[in-house]
Amino acid sequence: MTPRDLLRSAGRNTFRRPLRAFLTIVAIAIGAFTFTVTSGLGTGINTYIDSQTRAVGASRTVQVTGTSVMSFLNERMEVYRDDMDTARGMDVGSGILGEEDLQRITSALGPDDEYSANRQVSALYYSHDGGQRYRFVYNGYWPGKTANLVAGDQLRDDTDQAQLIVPSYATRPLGFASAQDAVGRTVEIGVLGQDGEVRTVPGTVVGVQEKSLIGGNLPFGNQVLDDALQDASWAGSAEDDAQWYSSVLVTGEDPDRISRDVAAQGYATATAEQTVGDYKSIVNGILLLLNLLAGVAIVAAMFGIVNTLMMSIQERTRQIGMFRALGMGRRRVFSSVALEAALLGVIGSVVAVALGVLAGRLLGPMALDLAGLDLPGLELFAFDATSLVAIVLGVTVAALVAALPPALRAARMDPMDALRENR
Amino acid sequence: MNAPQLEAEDLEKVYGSGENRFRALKGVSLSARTGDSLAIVGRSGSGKSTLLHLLGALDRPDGGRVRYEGEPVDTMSTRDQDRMRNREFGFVFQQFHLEERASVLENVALPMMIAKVPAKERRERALEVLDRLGLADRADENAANLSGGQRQRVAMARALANRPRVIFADEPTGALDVENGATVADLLFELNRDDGITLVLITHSTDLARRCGRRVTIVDGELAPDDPAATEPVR
Repeated sequence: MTPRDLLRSAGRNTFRRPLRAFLTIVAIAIGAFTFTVTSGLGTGINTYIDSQTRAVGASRTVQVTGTSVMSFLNERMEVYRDDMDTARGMDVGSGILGEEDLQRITSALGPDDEYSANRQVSALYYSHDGGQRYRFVYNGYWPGKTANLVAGDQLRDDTDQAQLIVPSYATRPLGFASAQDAVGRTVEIGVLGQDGEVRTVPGTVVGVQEKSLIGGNLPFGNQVLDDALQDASWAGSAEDDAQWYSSVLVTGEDPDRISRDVAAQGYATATAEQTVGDYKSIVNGILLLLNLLAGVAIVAAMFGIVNTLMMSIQERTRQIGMFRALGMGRRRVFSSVALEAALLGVIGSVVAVALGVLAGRLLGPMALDLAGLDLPGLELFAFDATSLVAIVLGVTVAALVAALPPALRAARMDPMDALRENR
Repeated sequence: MNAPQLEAEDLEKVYGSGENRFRALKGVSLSARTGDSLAIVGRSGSGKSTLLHLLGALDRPDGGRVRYEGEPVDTMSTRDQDRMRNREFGFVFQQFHLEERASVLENVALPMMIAKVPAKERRERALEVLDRLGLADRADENAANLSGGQRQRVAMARALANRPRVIFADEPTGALDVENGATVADLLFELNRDDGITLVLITHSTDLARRCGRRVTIVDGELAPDDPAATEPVR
């Protein structure tokens, strides 16, 4: 039999019982559909996270803290030293760094690496033109950070103007007509000093950034603003008080090397990539679970295939025996049954992949609306051809594996199986 | 030319085991030369079908041996046996064993398809054979739509498709009425006479048996003792 003949007869045998073939295909399709949707989710969300990487922080910057800021498993206490009484109001969550720490960190740096030590900033609120004050989280100064802007420009460090970028959701509450309107205007930031007094620091809004899942939802400023905020926060402390820092930011050509070397000194480090990686590992964990479910569906479908083909060859005992009597070899019989399974697998998975892509395209935006996730640039589902082809191939291979027992049984049939049935 | 084409030597076949053990053949020897027509007769359950299956390499004996063209068939690989059945033998059975869902042409072409004959040549040769058996006009019809006599002729066309040298027929007229039975029988003997195809035939019909060059009778798995025709052809 030529391959074409084989394919034709496999096709005919597959659809001998159309309902049964259909049901088996449905079972396969359920698994393949789950794989497709999961893969679409994975690609969609991870692509979005990647696109947000620059909003998290400059890709060349490494954040150094006493303990990890990302991992709540690392929360701990540290030994109290007497001079720590000047570290009032500092965030113990990520530990504090003293001059000694600073020296150890800088000793691990390369000659071209630049660093800036950030003291705790106790920003209380910001407001515009004496309007409503809003408490907010100040996330420190990130050298070279770029934002996904909806209006205005990026921060500049070659200026003596105190600049900041505000998130788009803040513009109206602060009293601006629009994002565009906010650009160039001044906001006042209330800062609590060491002496208990609240001082205001003015800053010029140069840009408004769009809402995003990671790192796009807090106001942040340039170095001039940060210096002003730090000064206001530490106003009232004695000249000879010990200096404490909440974090050190190191910028260099090779953030991975910096991260490694500084971490070796016993400090927690985070590159932009690692921060994004943490988000990704959460997403990937969820996706793994979904893929596992898809796998279970495929295994169930495989049993369906075994069952279908077993019934099919049982019914066709006469036919197969006759083919053997007419000289068809065992291998041909085997491959014809295997081909039936492959056909079921290919049809089921291609249909499922098509439906999955369609569903993702149609329901993805709807799902985002329903969940109230208004994140510009986020596509819940994105599909790449390689994964889709891999799904079809993988499911077909699974179908072939399932075909093994029935195909072996069919191949073992003798001409006498056909003739004996006759009696 | 004098060497037998098909030879059975002391064939034994046992079915079941223990209490259900049944010796279907108890040492049967016979032979046929190229172009012979051999009738195997006997009652139901005498073992004649078993003998035909062993001769046609459809089943393996539990004792003794079959030779085709001097080659021992039982020591052949399954693959070589498949090939031999496909190229050298043709089979016609009482129940036709056609593919009901396939067309007449596809049924006839099946052995050629197995032999990897190209599709075009397959069609030509199948039509040629169908024409000879008077079925050319039914070529594209579903096998299921044919009458019993027509179906058996299709089965014969299929047996002839690969130009076999031996045709094994197990009660080829058993399921047919008198008229159709006669047509099928005539065709079989015509092939034997004109094409020199060896014919091994199982039949209940004394008429059909009488038309064969030789007859052997099987009784309880053995050749009837009064049967001198077993190994010595009478012409």
